[in-house]
Amino acid sequence: MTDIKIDYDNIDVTDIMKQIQAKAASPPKKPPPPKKTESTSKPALQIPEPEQVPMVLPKWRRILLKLMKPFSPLIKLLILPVHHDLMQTVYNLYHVNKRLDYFNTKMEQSLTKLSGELYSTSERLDLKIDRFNERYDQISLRLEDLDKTMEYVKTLHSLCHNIVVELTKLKIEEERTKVKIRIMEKDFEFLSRKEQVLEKKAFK
Amino acid sequence: MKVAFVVQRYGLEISGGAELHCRWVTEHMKKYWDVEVLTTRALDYITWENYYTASDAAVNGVPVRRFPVIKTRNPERFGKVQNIVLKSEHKKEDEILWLEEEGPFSPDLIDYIKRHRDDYDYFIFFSYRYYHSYWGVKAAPHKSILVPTAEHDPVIYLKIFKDLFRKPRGIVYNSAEEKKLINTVSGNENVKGEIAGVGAEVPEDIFSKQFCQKYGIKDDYIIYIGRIDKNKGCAELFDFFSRYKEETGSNIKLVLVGSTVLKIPIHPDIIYLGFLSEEEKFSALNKALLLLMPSFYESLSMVTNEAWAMHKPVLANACCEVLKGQCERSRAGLYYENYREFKEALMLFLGSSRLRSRMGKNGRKYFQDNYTWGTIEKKYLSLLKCLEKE
Repeated sequence: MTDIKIDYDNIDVTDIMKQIQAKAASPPKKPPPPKKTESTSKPALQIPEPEQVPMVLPKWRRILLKLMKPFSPLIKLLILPVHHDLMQTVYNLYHVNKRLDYFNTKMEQSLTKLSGELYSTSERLDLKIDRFNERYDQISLRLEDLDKTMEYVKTLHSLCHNIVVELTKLKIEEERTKVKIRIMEKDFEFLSRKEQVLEKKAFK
Repeated sequence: MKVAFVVQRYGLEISGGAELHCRWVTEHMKKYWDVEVLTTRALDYITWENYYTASDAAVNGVPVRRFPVIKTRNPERFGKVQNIVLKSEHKKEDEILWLEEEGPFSPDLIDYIKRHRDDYDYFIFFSYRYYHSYWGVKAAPHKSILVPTAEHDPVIYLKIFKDLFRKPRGIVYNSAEEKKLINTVSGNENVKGEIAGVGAEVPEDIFSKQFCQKYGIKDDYIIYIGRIDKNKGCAELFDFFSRYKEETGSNIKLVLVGSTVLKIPIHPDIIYLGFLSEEEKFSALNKALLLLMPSFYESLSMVTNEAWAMHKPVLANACCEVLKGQCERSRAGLYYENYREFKEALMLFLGSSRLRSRMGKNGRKYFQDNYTWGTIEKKYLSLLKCLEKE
């Protein structure tokens, strides 16, 4: 139960007290602090940015590109299959639309189902809240009773305390009176003996 | 050998302190010496008002001479003088005035000692701090023995007492700590001293079972016996006990015995029983797990000796050097300076019946070796024998 070592055959109060004082002086146990992650303890690794190597074109190519620049949109139009792409996109969009319609219908169905469940749950919850409120009222009433009882207990305690104090005073008074009676009895004995002696002397 | 015991009050009505100590010693020593008591007519220790009318009486077979107190104590005036002597620069005359104000101011008692010092072999003065001891020891220093019953309070550092402790032929101390304190204060190592204290007697009839039934105590309990007062450390005890209960959830109860001048807190586990007869007090002590002694100042705790006589360990306040020293010497008690030490020590005691029983045995042995009346009587006799030889 305790980590204080005691030699029961030869009790050493000073030694026990040293152990108690050391135990009392030690700070209360605290929960261990949270472990720090390595990422916070070490500096974050920086990813090196790729080196940007300037692209150097041959001179003849640069001149050719400059010359062809005004015709570039036409060249692009002729080279790329724009119409085919457009048709493909329209087709894709049509399919996407159809899938969206399907999901919409499904979502509506799920929502209807969910709202039904939610309604029944809320009804059950309402019932529970009603019951809880009833119990809360009952508890409040009981707590009020308990408060009253506690007040009674407090009053009773102070009454008991006062009674004990009064009884103590009475007991002390009783002891004193007893002592006084004893002293008076002794005085009386002494006086009667004195009286007898005086009587004897007087009648002699 | 004719010996006079000089004390501030004397009578069967007085049930504690140095006065009871004096009465017990006187009654035990009357079989060896021709004893007489010199005292005042006072009963109330606050006003010293004359209560006993007869100047001569016998109390339990001991002749008693009572001298009138000619000036009652005025607490207000006394408080003012005490403030001067304790808190500011002052002269020896101020201290003499303080002594007069403290009382019991009975010059007739001192005159009697002066006039009749040759009629007695020794005067044994009880309580260093009162008028009768200071002037009485001065009146017959070579025949004086002082029983100081000193506590470590500021009054002991007054200059007049330094002088007083050096004057008598012998001093009977209550404890080694008291001797050390007085030696330090006055440097009176050359005055013959004996450590005696006061004995205790355990009544034959102890009815612990009936006691518990009468007061409806079913659980284990620890006990405090004595005046329930802030000065006795009771307020601190209530605080520590309540905190202990809250923190540990222990089902231990605290039983209080004695008259109270303090409002006892409302706590279901603090049971106040008030003033009990000696038999009931010992019955209560016998059933307790241990005695609590929270007092800050004690010259000698009689109830601690009684607990040890009943095989009970003690948990004492370490601020009181005497109690701490006694616990260490007896190996029958632990002590505390603060709440955490109180908690640890009490937990240790309550958790180990073996420790309680061992310390109880040690306490009983310490009591038998030091505080039975036979031992105390021998110590008084040996001191006087030593003085006779000088």
